[in-house]
Amino acid sequence: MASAEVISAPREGTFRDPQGRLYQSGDRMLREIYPEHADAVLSWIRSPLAQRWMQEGRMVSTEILPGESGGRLILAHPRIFFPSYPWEWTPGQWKQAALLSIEMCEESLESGFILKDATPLNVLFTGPRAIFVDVLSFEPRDPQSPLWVAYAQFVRTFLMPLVAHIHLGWPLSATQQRRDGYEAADLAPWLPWARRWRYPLRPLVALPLLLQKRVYEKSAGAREYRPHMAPDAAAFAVSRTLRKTRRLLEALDVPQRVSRWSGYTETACHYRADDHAAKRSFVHRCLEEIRPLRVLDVGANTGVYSRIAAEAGAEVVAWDSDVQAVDANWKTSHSQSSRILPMVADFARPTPAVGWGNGENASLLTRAQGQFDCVLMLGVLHHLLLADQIPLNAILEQVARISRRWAILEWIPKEDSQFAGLCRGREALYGHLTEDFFTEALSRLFAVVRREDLSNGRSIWLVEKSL
Amino acid sequence: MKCVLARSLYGLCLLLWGLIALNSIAKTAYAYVDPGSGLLLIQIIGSTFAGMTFILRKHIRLFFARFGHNHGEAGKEVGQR
Repeated sequence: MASAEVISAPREGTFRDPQGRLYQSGDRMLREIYPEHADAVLSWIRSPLAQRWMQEGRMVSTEILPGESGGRLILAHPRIFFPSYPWEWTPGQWKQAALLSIEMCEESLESGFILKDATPLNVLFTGPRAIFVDVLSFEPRDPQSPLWVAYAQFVRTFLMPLVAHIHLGWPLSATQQRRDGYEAADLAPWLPWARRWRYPLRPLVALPLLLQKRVYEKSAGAREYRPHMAPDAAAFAVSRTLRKTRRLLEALDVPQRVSRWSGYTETACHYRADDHAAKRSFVHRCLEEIRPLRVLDVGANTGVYSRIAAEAGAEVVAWDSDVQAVDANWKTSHSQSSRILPMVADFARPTPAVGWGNGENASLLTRAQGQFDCVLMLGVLHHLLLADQIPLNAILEQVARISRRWAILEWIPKEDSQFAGLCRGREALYGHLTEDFFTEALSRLFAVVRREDLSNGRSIWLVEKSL
Repeated sequence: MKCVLARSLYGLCLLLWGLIALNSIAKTAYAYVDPGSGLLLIQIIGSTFAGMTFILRKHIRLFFARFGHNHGEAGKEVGQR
């Protein structure tokens, strides 16, 4: 069966790794290992350390498929339900992924292995938990080398985006355009001289820049020099490098900021306590009734309704464009081990496909299409209609493409204070957005199952896709 | 205070070691600079110095293990490392 799948597998897939390529086959991800690397990969996958990580859920589980002629090795991984890319993570998720990579590298030393490829692209999230997915990133360590080969890559791709975010306010989402992260020279012009020489920027920006300028550019010897020493001394030096790198990561503390939306749930004055309670109760009842396995919460904010869906047994993906609100959602979900994957994602401006031929990282909507049993859009429609100026029909069509069956929507009338605020004197333009207009647009794609009217004039609708 | 002094001394030694090491291998060449080259140099300097410190400490311990009072225990500790 496995062989048939492999034979019929397309030639596409990942192409950067010299050891093999990865492609999707049904509900599994298959990894083809080229013959010359098969033995080394097998011995790594079968090592007690790799097996333990898979059992602990820190590394993606890997099944070795029956062998074929020609020495080609095929590994099978379960597909992570909703892949999120580093540019869709919050600072908390970013640090969690970095910490996982460092911890695994530290642990691998004891078994004679080392992490050779340290980039956020090797990590995904299952719910709020980071999982290492590139099983080919570990290799046997040269016992006489005191160097961690992936140190510079770890700094460029994990630490420097955090430096840029903390000290310059550059969003982590900007890394979408920086697959290999930032060099010291990219950030130095924007950082004050004194700050560059203070810890933790001194070993990340000031010293690398100085050495690069003064020594590396002028010295051919420096470019070729690789130290070798006694195995116990080399092991001590690598451990020290990893310890210091972990300390650098811990020192890059992202300050908690209050954003426009991060305190929305607690401060929303257009909701009375009983409106909140009625809304939560309606959503809870609907979810208990329809029992969706997978729910997408659009405009999830800090995840109040995502948690209701998770408690109803669903695996939830929670999108919001406000980084602080998503970070708060991730922290709560992580501490409560809820099955919620919070992501920095904008429904109106979804993450595009990136990479070579626009084919390496799929767009947000490609990943979401037909993946969810229910889509929650609570307190979002009026933002999409008025602030993003997306036509109602287009929004509902998008919901119908993402949801396999259900949607729970909140309709905000023209008289609502939030509606008026977003209109900003353009009432005449949006005069047509009445409840009748909404129900008519809805009826083209969905059937109304139930509705609940709140005392503040808003209404919540459970709708089912029409066949 | 003692810790700060020790750290400063360590940092100074590290810097001196770096300068000496790089000076000894320097040949003039102008070329494209690889990404992360400055970080690689920092790691080379730090790791080499750490390795040398480890070896030096090991030899000092061995010396004291041979001639010191706690011969057996220190010798065992060095052996374990």
